[in-house]
Amino acid sequence: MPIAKAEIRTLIPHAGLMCLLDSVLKWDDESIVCTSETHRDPANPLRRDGRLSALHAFEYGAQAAAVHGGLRARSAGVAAPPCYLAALRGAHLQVMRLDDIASPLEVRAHHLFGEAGNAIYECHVSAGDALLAEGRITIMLRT
Amino acid sequence: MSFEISRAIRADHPSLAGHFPGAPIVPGVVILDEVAAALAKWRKDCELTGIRAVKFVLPLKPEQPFTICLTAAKGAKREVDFCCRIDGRMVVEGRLEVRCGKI
Repeated sequence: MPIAKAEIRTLIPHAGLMCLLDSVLKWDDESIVCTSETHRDPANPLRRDGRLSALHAFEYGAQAAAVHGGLRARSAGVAAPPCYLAALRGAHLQVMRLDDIASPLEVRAHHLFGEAGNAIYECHVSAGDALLAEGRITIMLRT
Repeated sequence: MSFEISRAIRADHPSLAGHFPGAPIVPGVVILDEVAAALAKWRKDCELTGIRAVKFVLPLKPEQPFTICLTAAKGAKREVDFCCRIDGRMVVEGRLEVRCGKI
């Protein structure tokens, strides 16, 4: 059963339109696959002059990683600490913008190492068969 | 070769209400979007193709003025070093990958 947006909102601190992911398709201890159509929403809060830069793919990736952290914490019976995007490495953009991508985004995050509060994830954002952006994201405890 | 520009993210930026409720912090990607806009202003013939690395050292608050600096990376033709500072303190630093020339 996919996890819907209402439940995603209970797993991460992002609120309102800044909660970018629509659902979690599947997850296990290592990785998570999410989907979203908010990239085409004219009200997407990350748009600048009407365009959604492909750079924002990394916020989708960071939120997928945060949801993964939230799900892992919940399975362990603890609360996930609030985290933020602390670093990004090896990030490649295959497109310039996301708002003109017709298909839903698929956002994958694979846990490479670290624990909740300081973890590195490999993220891929794609649409259909096309990779749009990829990179390694560091998520850290917000102090 | 380098370029500098001063920016601030207004308190009414649409991302801030939900990032995070009661504790607004400018999302890292919003800062990167400003850096990309600064690059477009400086080098009109260049487009951003990636980010080799970026580190968000300190949080940026709404309305906090910050300076974006861009510098052609030494020995790497397709790379641009960047940083964002508040009163000389480093907030964000990193290196962009760019493609220049006729697009």
